[in-house]
Amino acid sequence: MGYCLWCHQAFQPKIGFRSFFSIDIHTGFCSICYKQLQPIDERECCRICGRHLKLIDAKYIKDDVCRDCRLWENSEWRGLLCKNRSLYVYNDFLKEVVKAFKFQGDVALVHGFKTDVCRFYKKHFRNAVVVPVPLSFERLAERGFNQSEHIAALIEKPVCHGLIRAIHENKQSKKGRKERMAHRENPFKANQKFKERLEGQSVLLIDDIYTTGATIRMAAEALRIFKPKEVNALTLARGA
Amino acid sequence: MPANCTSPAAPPAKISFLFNQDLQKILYGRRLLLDEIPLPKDLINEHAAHGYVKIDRAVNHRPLTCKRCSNHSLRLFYAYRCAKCGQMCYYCRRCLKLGIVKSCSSLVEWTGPAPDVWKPDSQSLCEWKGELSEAQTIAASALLESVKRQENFLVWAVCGSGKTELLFPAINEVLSQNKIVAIASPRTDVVLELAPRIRQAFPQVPISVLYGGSRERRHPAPFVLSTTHQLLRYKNHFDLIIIDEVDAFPFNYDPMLAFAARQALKPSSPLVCLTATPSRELREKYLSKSLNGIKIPVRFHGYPLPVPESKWVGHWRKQIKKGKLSPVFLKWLNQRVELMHPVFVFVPSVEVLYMIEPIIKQASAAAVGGVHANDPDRHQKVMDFREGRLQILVTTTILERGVTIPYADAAVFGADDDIFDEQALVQISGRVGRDMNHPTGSVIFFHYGVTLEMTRAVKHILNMNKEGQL
Ligand SMILES: [Zn+2]
Ligand SMILES: [Zn+2]
Ligand SMILES: [Zn+2]
Ligand SMILES: [Zn+2]
Repeated sequence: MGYCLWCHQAFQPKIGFRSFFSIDIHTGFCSICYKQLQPIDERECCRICGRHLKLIDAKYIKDDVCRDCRLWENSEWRGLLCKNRSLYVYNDFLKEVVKAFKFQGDVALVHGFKTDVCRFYKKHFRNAVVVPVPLSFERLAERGFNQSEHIAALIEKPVCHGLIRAIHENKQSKKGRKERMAHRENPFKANQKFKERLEGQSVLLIDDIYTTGATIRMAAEALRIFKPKEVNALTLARGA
Repeated sequence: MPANCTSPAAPPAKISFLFNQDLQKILYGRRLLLDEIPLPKDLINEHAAHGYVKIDRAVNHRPLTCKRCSNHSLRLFYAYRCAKCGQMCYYCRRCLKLGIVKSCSSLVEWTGPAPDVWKPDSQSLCEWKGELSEAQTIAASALLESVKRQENFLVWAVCGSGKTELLFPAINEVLSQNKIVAIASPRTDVVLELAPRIRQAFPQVPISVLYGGSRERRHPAPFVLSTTHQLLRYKNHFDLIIIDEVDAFPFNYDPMLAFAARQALKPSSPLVCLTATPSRELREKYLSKSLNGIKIPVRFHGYPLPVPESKWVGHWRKQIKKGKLSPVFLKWLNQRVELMHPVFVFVPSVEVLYMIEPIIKQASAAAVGGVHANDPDRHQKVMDFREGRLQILVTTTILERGVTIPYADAAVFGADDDIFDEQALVQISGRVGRDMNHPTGSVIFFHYGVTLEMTRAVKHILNMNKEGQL
């Protein structure tokens, strides 16, 4: 018997969950809570950004690629990101969970995503080197943890801190993507310590939400000096 | 801001130190996280050095305990390598909604002189013009006497017996002595419903209304309306706390809220519990006379509670899976809709809610809404229902208590489900016929086999009605 991480009701977990820190077991979400997550069908998503194609107008779709991705691929950012896969649509329920996880600091909630994160990793990105998208030093000090780090840890493979976030962006959303991209202010830098580990490798970036794709592409650009074989991304949610 | 806040307080412990009055006002009577205080940390530390403030670690490691909410259940802690303190840091998941308590957090209390909170300029602050019924008058004076003696009290009153009004004499007594009162409820719905009524009854008294996201916060205020959760931010502060719907989920299950109330009270000050269906523990204490109290079986308008009827609808689970609803249920529902009555449809779970809501929408011309505990639009939907924009409200048991809608009828769909115990069914029946102009109403248990709990609930209501006639 376990307790749902979200609603705290007792429930019977489907598969064995491991215990953490040997103090107690933090199991996943109960079936009622889990059902409120809206998985993105892998056969019906944009080949590049992984968004649910059913949710956008058909006139914007061409060869299973959405308009945003076509714009990216027609710009100087072409080919930087091979593909992103998001587990779920960023619906109201997931927004609530992410709010509690990221902003209220309920880190334990991340274990509710473990099964799906591991499944996606094995299916799409097996053997890729896992690189969590870092926070700036200031943000990390303020929040106390990096959410991407905790998502990456679910995979139970060594994590490579191949990126540094050198520029602290005050309120990320305030400055438009266009402005940031136009100024070429890439907040990320490659961490030279991990040159050998990353050179010529297939890299998997981990982040919580893919919204415009700008963050992930800037992270990919920073890694370019290592000449990785390809850069992919795995995110919990595909935002609007 | 209260008018008389400027006079300097009693002489401080060390004359040479001038304390910060903003800090005094923020902290007085409370216990806050260091991070919650919008003042420089140096200033707070300086006050601690002079004995005006006490700073404590927020988490005890041996045994693992959250000092804010007293949680010591391992399941409700989690640890990770904290980027703030560089250590493995535990945090408490139980009181997280009030802001995170971690191993590296500190709790801060004010230990300096008290500020002037407010001064009443009259002995009768209550301007409520209504009249108490005979039963209410008896209860109100018993409560008043008990509060004067500083003794705990139980008001065991059937739903709709006008519990709020009978509190007014006791509240007036405490406030007029320049003391501090709180009414707390486990549910935000109840706090929201209470606030306008209290403001009307005590128009001169500064009132603070506290719930997650409320804006009407002032501190210190002599009268606080609050969710029981928010009481965790107080310590040793109130001269009287009244807990409305004390048994409402999750109070029964959650020792945290009982702890919160005790902590927030001054050591020998009384706690008053209001409930229609006391827990076994409270009931036994009352019956064995170790707890003072009074039972009010009669409703304030003098009419009995509606006695629920039971109607068999067959295998409802199977039916809704096929997208169907029993004609017996639909016939009743449509009758109510034609009468223009608001209708509560109580369902056993969120799953059933999701299945049944679209079927009802299709089968009925009325505006239908569904609501459950984690619904972010919950308050809006209840408001829409209250104001008539929704006519049928399909809900899980979260709304058993505290929401009053005139002319409402209630259906319990799937009344044979385990979740509907005697207490829940009695509470649901109390939703109906709460308006003086419309004291009767229809309550139907739609079921696939009568349960013991259903029979007990009907018996309970018949008993209350019988006692009320005496
Ligand atoms: Zn759950
Ligand atoms: Zn795309
Ligand atoms: Zn706690
Ligand atoms: Zn820490």
